Amino acid sequence: MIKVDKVSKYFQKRDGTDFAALSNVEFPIRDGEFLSILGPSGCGKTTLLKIIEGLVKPSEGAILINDQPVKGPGPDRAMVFQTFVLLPWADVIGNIAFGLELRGVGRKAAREVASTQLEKVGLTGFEHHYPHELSGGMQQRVGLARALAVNPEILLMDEPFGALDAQTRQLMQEDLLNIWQEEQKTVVFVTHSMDEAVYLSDRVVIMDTHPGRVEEIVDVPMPRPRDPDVRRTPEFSELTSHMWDKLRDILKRDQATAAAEAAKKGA
Amino acid sequence: MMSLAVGFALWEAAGQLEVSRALPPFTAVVEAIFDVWGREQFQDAMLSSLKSVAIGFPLAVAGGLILGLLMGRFRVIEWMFEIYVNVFLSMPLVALVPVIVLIFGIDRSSIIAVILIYTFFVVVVNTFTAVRAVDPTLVEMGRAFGANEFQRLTRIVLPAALPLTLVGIRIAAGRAIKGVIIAEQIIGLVGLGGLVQRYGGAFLVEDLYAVILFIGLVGMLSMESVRVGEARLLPWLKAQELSAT
Amino acid sequence: MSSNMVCAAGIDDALSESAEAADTGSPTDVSEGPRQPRRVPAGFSRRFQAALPYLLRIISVGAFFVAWEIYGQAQETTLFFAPFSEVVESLYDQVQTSEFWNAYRQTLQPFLYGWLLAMATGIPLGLLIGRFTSISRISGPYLSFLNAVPVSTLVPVVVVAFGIGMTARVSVVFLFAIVEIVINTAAGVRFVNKELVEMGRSFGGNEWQLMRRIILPGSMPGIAAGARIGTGRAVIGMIVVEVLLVSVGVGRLVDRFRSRFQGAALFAVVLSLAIFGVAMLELVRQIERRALRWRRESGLDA
Repeated sequence: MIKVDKVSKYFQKRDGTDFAALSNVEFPIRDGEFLSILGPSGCGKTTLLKIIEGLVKPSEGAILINDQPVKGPGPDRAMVFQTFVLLPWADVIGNIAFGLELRGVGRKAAREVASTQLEKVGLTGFEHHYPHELSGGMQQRVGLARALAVNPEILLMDEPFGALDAQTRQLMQEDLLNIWQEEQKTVVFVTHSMDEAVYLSDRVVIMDTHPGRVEEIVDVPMPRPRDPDVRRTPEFSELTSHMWDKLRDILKRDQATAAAEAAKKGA
Repeated sequence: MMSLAVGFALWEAAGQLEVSRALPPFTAVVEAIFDVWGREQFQDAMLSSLKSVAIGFPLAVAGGLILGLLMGRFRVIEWMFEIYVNVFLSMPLVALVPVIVLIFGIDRSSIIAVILIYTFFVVVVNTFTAVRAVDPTLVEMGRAFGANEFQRLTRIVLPAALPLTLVGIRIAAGRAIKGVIIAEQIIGLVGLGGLVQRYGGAFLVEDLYAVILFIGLVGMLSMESVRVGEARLLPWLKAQELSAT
Repeated sequence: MSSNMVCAAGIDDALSESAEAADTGSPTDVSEGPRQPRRVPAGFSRRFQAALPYLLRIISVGAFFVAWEIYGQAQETTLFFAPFSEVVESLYDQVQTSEFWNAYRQTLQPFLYGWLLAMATGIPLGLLIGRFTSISRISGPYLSFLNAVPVSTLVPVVVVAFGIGMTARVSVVFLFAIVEIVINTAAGVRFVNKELVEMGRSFGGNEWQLMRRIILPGSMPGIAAGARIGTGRAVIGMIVVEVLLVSVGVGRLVDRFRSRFQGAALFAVVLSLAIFGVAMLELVRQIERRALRWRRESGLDA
């Protein structure tokens, strides 16, 4: 069981004042669930994800995994990045095996695991291709395979399909769900697309911005496994509409405060 | 800053402990600075070097700018001269100094010749690259508004090529100093380079350091001043550069 | 491969084809604006246009040697200046002698040791400076100064410290090469995509692993540039040793020919040095190209 426990994160602005990226964020994450974090750009979603991963330390609060606070990156978590972040000088197999090798697994064993993962994400035949030879979707599959290879309990995904075109994106969503059904991992998925959040998740955390805060947690009670056609059902539209309403409110509020601040600065 | 202070302290310690003949105490070097820099011998040498650079550097820069511009503008000229530029930039120019001394003799003309070859080609290649890198659509825009050849060159190409050209001049300034010093060291009789050889040969280490320090400071200063010139002339580039660093 | 890639590749090919067609020979100039594809006449005329650059280069180089020859012949004596033909003759003769090669062997020793030492210390140092800002700040002023001061002025210091033996010679070559290697390596490190490092950390990599598996391969362009420039500097250092420090080897030949005013022989030796320098540089460039093949293929560099 993971708990985001009253996490706050402050950054220092250039003029010395503090800027709150996250403020008192608190919510539980159930084992094996697919949880999305939805919100407009710049509300600290990525920061929160990095805090869960252990790359960033919270200013206040902590991430508790089975009641133990997170101190840094660990073998129970792995991350998938929006910009793929593959090693340009390594081939596909080398990239997938990379996370394992960093964790101390020997080269031979790592490559074997990597081979299995490669098949799982549907990249058979591309073992010795280089990242620059692959399309965006395929590169992200490599990123996903790399994360899965280290067998984490928790998969952290930072807008992983944000850099892809709409069609590839949909396909990747469906493939991701298939893989998730098999692997039974906990997934924390950051996105700013409501469609994506509703289609993929069991619950959606809608986050406010400036500072980042939990606005609402919405349940997505639709049945599993999720048929791609579920996107056309009325319940789907209801949920996405509700989320859009919330997001619009957040965005409008954000615009108002930004305008007020700009006016103050100008004055 | 702190690291310099620590460095000086270590130097002092090493000097007092007489670790090596090449390492006199830092305080002794500081004393020597005040001593040497005021000496007539030093000032004469400095003026001599300065004179050589004052003749050689502007000549090389002017020539380099012209050739670089021509090479950038006319492909034919580029094809004719690029071999020379490449060869002279890839070869160890020091090797030519004895030849130059043989041809021009042991006097200032040799030193100026050395400064010329050290400086000229750097300016050429940077100016050439700068001119080539000018966005052709800018020039096309000029033509669309009816500018003639001369106007296009002076009002669009030149300003656009200025940043990279100035970088070339900045590098050339450093090279000019290296050139004048090495030439004077090899000839051995005149200028700051000659002084370096003399003090070194006489094992006057503190005095030697004083001269070296002076030369180094001049080097840094000259490159800084070109940088300041860059900032003044190119205010629009400042914001770009700041965001890059 | 997804259809996206294939589509994009096709368009790129078409673009580069038209660019090549426009590039056949005719002098284009910057102030003309973007190159318009020119209608090039077929046949002989077209081949002439394509060959023009090479022709001009050959003519230009040829003119240089011809001028050299004429000017040299016009001199009354070869005490100060020798015509090209005599220089070549002298070089040919010298290359037959064992004296010539012994001289080079003597001179090459400090070059090799100094170069190896500079690479072995410069690259790790550069990596540390690039990776850790604290180290960068500490070493900053020293590097700046070493970069600004003509290294030839440090030769007398080396002589005072180490005399004129092998240590001194190796030190001079080392000093000439080290600065560029360190600076370029450090720049190469800063150039590494920070996200890659973050990704490595997210998979639990420790500092040593990050350095070895991400930073080192990522900095290769910078390291290669440093190696290339450093090699050039080492060659310069090697010559400075001969000219300023002690003339064993090639320097002794230079000295001898200069003091005896044997113009042709002197020019010949200098020519051989120039060839050596250029050859070393070409060698390093080839290695650089091979090592960085993956970068060029991925289109990351021009």
